[in-house]
Amino acid sequence: MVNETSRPLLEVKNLHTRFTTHRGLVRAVNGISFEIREGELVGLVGETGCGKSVTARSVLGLIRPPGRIVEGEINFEGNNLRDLSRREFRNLRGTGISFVPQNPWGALNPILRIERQFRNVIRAHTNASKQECWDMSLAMLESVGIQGPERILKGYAHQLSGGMAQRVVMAIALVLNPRLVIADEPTTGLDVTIQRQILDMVMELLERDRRAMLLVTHDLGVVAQYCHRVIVMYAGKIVESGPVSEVFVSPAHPYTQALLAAIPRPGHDLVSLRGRVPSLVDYPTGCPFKDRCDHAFEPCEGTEPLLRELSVDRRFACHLEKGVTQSGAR
Amino acid sequence: MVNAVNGVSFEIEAGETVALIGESGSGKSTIARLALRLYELNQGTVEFDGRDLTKLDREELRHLRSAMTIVFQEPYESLNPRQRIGRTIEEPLVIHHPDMSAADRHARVIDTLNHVALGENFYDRFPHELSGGQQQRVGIARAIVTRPKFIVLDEPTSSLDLSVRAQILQLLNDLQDEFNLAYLFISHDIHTVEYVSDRICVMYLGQIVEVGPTAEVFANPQHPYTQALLSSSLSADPRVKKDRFLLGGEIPSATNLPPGCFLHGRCPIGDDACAAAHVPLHAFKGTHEVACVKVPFAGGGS
Repeated sequence: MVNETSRPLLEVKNLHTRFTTHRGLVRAVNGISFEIREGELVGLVGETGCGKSVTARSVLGLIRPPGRIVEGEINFEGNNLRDLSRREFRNLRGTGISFVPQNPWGALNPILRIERQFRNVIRAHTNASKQECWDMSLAMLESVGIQGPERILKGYAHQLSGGMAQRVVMAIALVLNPRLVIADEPTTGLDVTIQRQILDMVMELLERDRRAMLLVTHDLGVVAQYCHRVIVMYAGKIVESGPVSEVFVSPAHPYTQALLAAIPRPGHDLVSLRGRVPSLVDYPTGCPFKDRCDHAFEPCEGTEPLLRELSVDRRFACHLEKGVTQSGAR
Repeated sequence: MVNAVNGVSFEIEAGETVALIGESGSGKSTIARLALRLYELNQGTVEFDGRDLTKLDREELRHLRSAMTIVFQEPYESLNPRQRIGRTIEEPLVIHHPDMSAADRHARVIDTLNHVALGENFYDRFPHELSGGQQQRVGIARAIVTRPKFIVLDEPTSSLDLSVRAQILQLLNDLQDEFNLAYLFISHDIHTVEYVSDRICVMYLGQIVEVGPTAEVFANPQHPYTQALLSSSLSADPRVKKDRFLLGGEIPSATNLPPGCFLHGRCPIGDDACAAAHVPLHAFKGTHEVACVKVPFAGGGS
């Protein structure tokens, strides 16, 4: 169950992250604010270039030049992460907040045995002995459903299948009991039957230990079936957020609606979205979705719609009074 | 030795879309290339328009290649980054229609660009100037410029964003209607396959485990692997609860195939009888066929 009463585990306020490139200043994340509560599973969705991965990396303190967080607060358990030194932040990663990257092969060291990779992480934050590290690693590998974990610990990354590698990376991310896990497309590229096994396992583990997760993905099905809440991003902004049971059934923002309608369903006409995402360098005035929106009207051109409440715990950024939930009534 | 494809047979009629669905190691991409004889077959035949591709010499085969083309999964990887779009689309004409004048070729390329909803001003651009969706339109344009009869589509929308996928699927649909094209559509995405295909072959470790009209197979899946595959699909509608997932274990290596049924060991209903011998496809209902000893034959009995 999600803890409703206490302060949020993670609170992001007005985050702006930009990249200086030869083409100009890329406004990757443009003023986003959201919260994650203890034990909550939140899906961060959007298409290529919407800023979801940059958001995740901003929270993890992994933005390096030419990228920079230029504004905003990132409060984790009440502390502003932007005030931390690099060393303090390093201490937090793995124990408070951990990261599961998209490509497990990129995260595993090819020349170190798996047990050593676990030990490196554990010893970076604790004084555990070699035996204690072994025991913790073994237990963790069993929790993520790996059969014969001793053999895996003694082995190397290249000996693992895609699904196994992803389980190992998850296990390393969970071994120090972080309160928040940020996963960036953790099952993309895996076979769907393996993906299901892994998602079922991870979600069960998270719920059992009441860990929160920020799941960054483009797969709406994963979010709909495993997450409590969803945040939809477009062109560096949050356009909608709320409980999955409401947002996916009755979307308020035209983009959310268009995204759901674009999922192929037999017997239904395919509804495609015209146009393209706007440039993040020549960022448009007004609403970034205006050129592709069937409901655009006068204010959309010059005035940026701010994120506001539709109802309790539901927010959206659109000039339509109730978004598209009431047939676009203005 | 990797046993990529192990005794696969199917047919595609003009104007029809047959989908191959499966996961890693299923052999679907290999079949896509075998169908065009881009790989050599160890055994078997591929007949196109009544002619066996495996018996043709290089010249004859090349000539046929204007009638059977392919669209790849990664739009950017499939385009020559140093060649302008117009030239890329023109290339098949240069190879297959040396009799065409430059002016005629140019006109055909422009016409083809219009068919894929890219304007004339794309002619002089380079691939890196285009979005993923536009690049894939170029890949499709190149595949239709010779007015083929048959196109192999190898995961044509898997690398594209959701909102762009719909555009491309719609385009493929329109082109099929206009030119009466036959499609072999390879995919791992159940939603896409269900939407685009008339018939479907479900593949596992180089074999077809189930085949039939798409609507029928999806409504009434018989093979445990098909059931597992369909149950792994996650609906974006949170009211539709995901099914209990049925398949444990990992996909075995294609270099070390188990004897008997390939799913044995992972299958929820398998037993020792399944490990004994290879299981051929048998008719379950009409043209719906299954390769599983536990599934009754058409007309009752097993």
